[in-house]
Amino acid sequence: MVNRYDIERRISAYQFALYDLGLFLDSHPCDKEAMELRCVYQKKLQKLIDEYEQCYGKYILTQQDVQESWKEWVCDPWPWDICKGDGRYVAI
Amino acid sequence: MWQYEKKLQYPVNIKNPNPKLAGLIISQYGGPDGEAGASLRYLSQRYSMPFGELKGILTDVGTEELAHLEMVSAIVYQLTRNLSEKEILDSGFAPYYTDHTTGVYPVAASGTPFNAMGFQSKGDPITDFHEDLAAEQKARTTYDNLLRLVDDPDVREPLKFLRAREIVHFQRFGEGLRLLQDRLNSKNFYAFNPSFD
Repeated sequence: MVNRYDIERRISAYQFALYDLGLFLDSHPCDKEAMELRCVYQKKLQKLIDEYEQCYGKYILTQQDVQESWKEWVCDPWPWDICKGDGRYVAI
Repeated sequence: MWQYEKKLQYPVNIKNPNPKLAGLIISQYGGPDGEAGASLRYLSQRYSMPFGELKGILTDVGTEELAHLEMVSAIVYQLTRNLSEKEILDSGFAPYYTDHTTGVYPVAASGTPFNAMGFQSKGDPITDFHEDLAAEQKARTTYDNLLRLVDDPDVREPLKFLRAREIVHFQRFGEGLRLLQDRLNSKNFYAFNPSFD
């Protein structure tokens, strides 16, 4: 099973790359290369989210991702909680 | 509108509390060149922008600054866990503690509460983009100053990320300003306000 912390870091890296490409495209809206790179990263991101969900259930990023129970949203950890390297979270 | 993503833009996991550092880093929350002012500046300036690219840059950067506000909060929150009375007194954190316990409050390292006088929304896109370029450099200098004072790698890594983003934003704002000027009469940049006259 993939380490939860590691896969979340990888997901987060692709999400960040997509955001940063979007910011670049704000000032270069006709840049084809950046748009193509977005498609590549979107596919890689989706693959990682699928992999995550096979092990850990629904990947909850926004309230729109909640499907069955609102507990999915209100559960710890919150983003400012400490996450240990082995994937266990510590609410403080 | 905005939608909350339940994650930090870059991870913050600090093992060792350090209230002295918290009292300095809080400046990037509510200080003169902090993320609160940055976000309000860019999101407020959007409405007088004449071109979509400029609205896009200000919307995205202004939104990202809110994510940075949350990272700085997480750093301060984690640095002020489980403090003893002695640690509070010995670290210089006592004045902040007296007013806010360990709550996160927008204030400068020098103790001045957040003040909107620290930024402008001038209603003139050339003026505003020059302010934005300066703001990114001022924030970058503040992160440089903090990085000289911080040894703990758990604190340095998120600060280095935030510093790097100031440089990327400076680049994007520079492109925005160039794009704006390219669409104006080059003999006449400062003779009128392209959003008002």
